[in-house]
Amino acid sequence: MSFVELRGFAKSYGPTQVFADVDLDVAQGSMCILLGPSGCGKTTLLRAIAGLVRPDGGRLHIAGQDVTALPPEARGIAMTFQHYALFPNMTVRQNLAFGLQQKRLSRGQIQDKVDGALSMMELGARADARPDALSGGQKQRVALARALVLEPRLLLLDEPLSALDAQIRKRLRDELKRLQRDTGFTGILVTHDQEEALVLGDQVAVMSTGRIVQAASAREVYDRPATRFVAGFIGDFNLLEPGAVAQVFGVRTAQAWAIHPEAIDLREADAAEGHGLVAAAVVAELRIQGPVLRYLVLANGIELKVDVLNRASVPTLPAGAAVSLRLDPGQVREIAD
Amino acid sequence: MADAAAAAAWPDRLLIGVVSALLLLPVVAVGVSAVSTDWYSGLAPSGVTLHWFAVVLSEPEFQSALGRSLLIAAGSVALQLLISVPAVLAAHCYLPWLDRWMERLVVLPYALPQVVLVVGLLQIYAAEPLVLIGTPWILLLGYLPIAFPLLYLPLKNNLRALPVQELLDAGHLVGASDLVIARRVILPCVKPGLLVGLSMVFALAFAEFVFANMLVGGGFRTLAVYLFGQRQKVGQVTAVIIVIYFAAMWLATIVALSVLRGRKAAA
Repeated sequence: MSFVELRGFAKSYGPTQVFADVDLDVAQGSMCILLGPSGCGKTTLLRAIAGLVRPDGGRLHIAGQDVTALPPEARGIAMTFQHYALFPNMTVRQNLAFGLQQKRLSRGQIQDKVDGALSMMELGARADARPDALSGGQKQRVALARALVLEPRLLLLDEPLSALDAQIRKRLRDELKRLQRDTGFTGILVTHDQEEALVLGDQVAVMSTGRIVQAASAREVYDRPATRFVAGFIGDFNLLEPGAVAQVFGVRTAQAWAIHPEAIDLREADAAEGHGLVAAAVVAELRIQGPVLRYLVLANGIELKVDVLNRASVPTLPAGAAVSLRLDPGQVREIAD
Repeated sequence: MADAAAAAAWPDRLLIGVVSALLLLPVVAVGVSAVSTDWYSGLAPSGVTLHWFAVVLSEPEFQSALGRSLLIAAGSVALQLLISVPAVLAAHCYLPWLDRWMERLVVLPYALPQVVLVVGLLQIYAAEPLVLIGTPWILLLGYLPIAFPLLYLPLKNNLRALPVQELLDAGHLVGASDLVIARRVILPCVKPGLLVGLSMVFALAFAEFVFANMLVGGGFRTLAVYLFGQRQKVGQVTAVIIVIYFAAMWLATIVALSVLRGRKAAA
């Protein structure tokens, strides 16, 4: 039995099904990502795990204990909210102390724990500030500190980075990763950002319309998407229907192919041909994306995305240049539906 | 740039100055009248005196009217605190349908002519089980709905700015009951709107005339009714009463503001 075990969770509001048949296993000390587009039910699922929403069916075990019927505070769960939900009238220190006061810890214990959490999140200098005096990144760090100070068995994070701008988002993402490594908390994090999911997740569970369509390691989900939806949501696949596969590579197949843009080798047309699948193409457009060059090429009328590492030694090919594409058959993912 | 801005600003300032002067003129005139010996001819009163203050303040009829008005005003504030504030909070947090209705109904006291309200109140409170006509209770109950919008609007504004559901969730996760969260988080956060609303409730109940005159009248003469009875007497007497009105309102406002400032200082 895994540390967190969710079986058959379901929830409807009237005729509207929010999620159904949700099974999820999270190992102790690992981070599980619930990834999906907005409206797929992931936030409600998180609130149900927290005990803030009563599920219609299913059971939840944490560390072997059935907590399905327990109130939120008895589950050993802490949570951060999308808009932080810091208490606006309290200082950072009071925000952190609030939960511990509800647990009726002694004044000295509260002081020690709060000080520890403040220094762990490097918030000491802002301890007596109120939330409206903090930046977005600081607010999220306070929210994290307020959750971690409770020493929860399971930490739930609802879109922790989505309200931040790009620069701070990356920094806090790395900080979250470090924090998880250092403190070893078990976490479930909700996001709609696939890059965030791949970087932070030991396990990624992809949700679509209230169901988990694939739950696997980040590598696995990226390399072997189980369904067309996952392929479309994760990474930036070239998705070729059987007809298109025949047109480009001259291969007959029953199922659609998903091919990562970085899996295709792009060479100048007169380069010596290697083994594998080969196709002739013409460059339609070049986008310089920083670390990679993204070519859009037309192969027998079908548009493909091809990524090439942006190294000084790589010449850029202009639009209209004739190229040859080569693909290792092992890089092809067949998509069932 | 600065010159252009200044040049563009002077008509604005002139306009604001003229409007302010127009609005202040009656207040100043009443204030001057209250301390003048007599002011029947000429642009300025012929002498300055505090005689009229002494006359009014020593009048036992005035003293009891002032006391009654203060009592009604304080009672109205207490009733709003006891009934309206919990109702608005509960509707905002738990009962969205009631919240939507409150939002619509809140204009009703202004949409109906006051005479209609008076007739309605008379019908309700003239019959069993609540025969309250002629007693101060009918004023307290009558002011409750008409003062409600004054409390509701600023309070609701503060509530809207607050992510109440997330705050409740954050509290529930650590086992804090709704009451604890209301007391420790939500009420402190909406205090500014609450104080503004309550001081307006106080002002309305303190100075209201139509209800006080038609529902109670002689049985419980409030300051406004007393003032109305003095209208045939020397002008300075009514001026003094109005100045005392202003003083009471200012005092109430200052108390509310100082509570607010205390909160800001703590922040």
